[in-house]
Parts: sequence; structure tokens; C-alpha cells
Amino acid sequence: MTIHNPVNERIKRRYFAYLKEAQRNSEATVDAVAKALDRFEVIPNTESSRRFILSRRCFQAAPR
Amino acid sequence: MNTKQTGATRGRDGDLDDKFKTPSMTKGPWANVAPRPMRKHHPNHRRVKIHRSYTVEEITRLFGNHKNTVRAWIKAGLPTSDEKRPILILGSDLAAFLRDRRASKKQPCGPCEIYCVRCRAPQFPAADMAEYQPITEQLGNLMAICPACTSMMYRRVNSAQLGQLRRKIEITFPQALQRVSESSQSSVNSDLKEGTRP
Repeated sequence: MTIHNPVNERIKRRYFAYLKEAQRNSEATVDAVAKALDRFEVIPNTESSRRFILSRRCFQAAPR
Repeated sequence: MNTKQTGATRGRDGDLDDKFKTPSMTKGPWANVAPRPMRKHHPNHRRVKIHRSYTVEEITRLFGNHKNTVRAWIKAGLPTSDEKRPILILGSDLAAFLRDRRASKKQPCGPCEIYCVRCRAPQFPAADMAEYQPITEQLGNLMAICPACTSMMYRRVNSAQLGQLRRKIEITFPQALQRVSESSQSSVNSDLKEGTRP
């Protein structure tokens, strides 16, 4: 069964947009990051810790 | 009209080069009407990235269909990520939805059935009879009549499968090569012994 967190999905979208537009990463690189993040999310952490780690990683990279 | 376009005959928006246009495309009432891009009746689920999420607009850009089509998919059961706007659809959900829709439309034929194009369904040959027309030694066409609409049905079969098919239906083979007219005279293009002249 697919585990997904709706808040994480929106954070990930912003992060992918940052990688593509600001970092000028290629589509294949962003795909690889998306795949890695998806694998990371499958690890059975608690929902809040997943959200915390993901948002920290993305906010460090792309501050508001 | 896009006159700068070179190389490719058809651009992304469906415009043709001037040299490829027919007279009806350069004159008359349809001269300046841009051709609409071809509708995608069966979107390819393999084009969706399963680790990404899509908005409705991104899906329309991916498949070239209308946004109302995507919103109809959502009404028909395509799951969204959450209730917030813009609506976000997970790539894995979209791929699974399109794959299931495509699989539900498939009508696989049984071992002795042939797909009737007019009935749009697999049909058993009328009177259990079919004709085999060989194309190569291993391959041929099976021709039969549809019992529902009496139109011709065709199926490409392997000659190795014919023995299995003949248990259920009667398969006839063409007796002689089909020609426009029979000729009783032998060909003059025959091999002659060396040294002899005709």
C-alpha cells in the first residue's frame, strides 16, 4: 500500500520547482531526487517526523 | 502560418510547412483556420511519472486533452492527494487509474474467436467455418463470417496453431494459387539445353 502525506507532497512540489528553476537541475536529476524521497518516505517513521525531516531538508534548500 | 519553421514537416501546434499544404489549406474558408491537435482517446499511462504529483493543468499539458476531461476523471474516481487547491494528483494514482481504464476496455479473443470490427466484440465464426490464407510458411490470415452481422472477420494466426484450431472449427485451405486467368500454354521462358537455339 502506498503511504503518502499530503503536506509532504506539496512541500516536495516546491522543492522540485526550486531544483529545476533555481538550481537549473535537469529533469532526470529531479526525477532521481523524487525517487529517492519516495523511498525515504516508505521507511516506517511516524508521520510527524517524516514531515519534519522533509520540510527541514526542503526549507534549508529553498527558504521562503 | 509559420514560415520560419524548417526541417520538421509538422510543428508542435500542428502547423504544416507551406510546401506540404494542399490547395484547400491555402485558399478558401479554411485557409487561416489552424488545425486542432489530434485528440488522445487512450492516454498512455506510461508517460506519467509515478514519483511526481500533477495539477490538472499539468495533466492537460502532458496528454494534450482538455481540463474538463481531467476533472471528469476525478469525478469518475481518480483520487486526489487532499482537498486543497490547486488539486494535486499523485502520479502513481493517475497511472493506476489510466491503466485500469484501458484494461477494462480490452476484449481479448478466445482461442477460436475472431474480433468483429462491426460488432466490436469477439465472435465465434459462423457455421464453425473459416478459411486460411497463408502469407508465409509460418504465418497466415484466418477469414470467417460473423454470425451476428454477416460481415467478414480476419485474424492473423500462426500455422502451428492451426491443428489446435481445427478441433473446434473447420478450416479450409485454398486449393490452387489464385490467378486472373488460367493458362494452358507453358511458359516460353524455360531452360534450354546448351547449344540449342529456339
